[in-house]
Amino acid sequence: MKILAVCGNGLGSSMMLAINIKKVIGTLGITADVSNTDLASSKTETADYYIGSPEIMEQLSDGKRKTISIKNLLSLPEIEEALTKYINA
Amino acid sequence: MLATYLTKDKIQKFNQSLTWEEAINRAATPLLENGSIKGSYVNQMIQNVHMMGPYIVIAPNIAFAHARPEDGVLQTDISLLVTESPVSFSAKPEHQCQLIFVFAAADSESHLQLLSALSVFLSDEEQVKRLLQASSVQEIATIIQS
Repeated sequence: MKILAVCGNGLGSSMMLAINIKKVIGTLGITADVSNTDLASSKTETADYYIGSPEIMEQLSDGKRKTISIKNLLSLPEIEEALTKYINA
Repeated sequence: MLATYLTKDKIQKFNQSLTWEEAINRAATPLLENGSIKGSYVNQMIQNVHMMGPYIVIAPNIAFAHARPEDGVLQTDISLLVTESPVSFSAKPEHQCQLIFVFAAADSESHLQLLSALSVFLSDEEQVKRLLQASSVQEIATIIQS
């Protein structure tokens, strides 16, 4: 499974989010390849799930991509809840 | 790791209201003065928010302004502006921030540890509360060093 953390620049906030996703999937027992990128590149990169702030996910959502919005990129509980809801569903 | 970069000379406190553009400009000043970034980097950080929305608001009350290494970063660095009145990054209440970080990465890999440390530090809500309640730059620096 591939999870792509996305922000406007592809580093900074998306990298912080990727670090936190890696922490969370370890405890959830999900095996996934987690990387981070910028909004423009993410539109041409294929992933099972795209994850980022609501503003960025809105711009990425096309009805086909599976997007997961996270309001607080630093909150491990919020990330864990979102991943559990979307990925295990 | 965070305390190595985020030293007292890169921390500011401000008690008047600011627009988000003014806040980013002000927060970036120490990094312009110490030569870590060029003016083009500041413009790009602001431009990114105009283009892609307030995605730099990474958590309640916390903005993390940044752009790309090629936008004018000379060395990896970070600065912080703490404002008494919240800065609005949009009309929505969830985009109001009092902690404005400016982050500059010289390349896309070397700053991983710094971001990791910052993420751990800021995910502790008590620490964030202490930063907001601090009455001086010295006090903020002490909290970061602890």
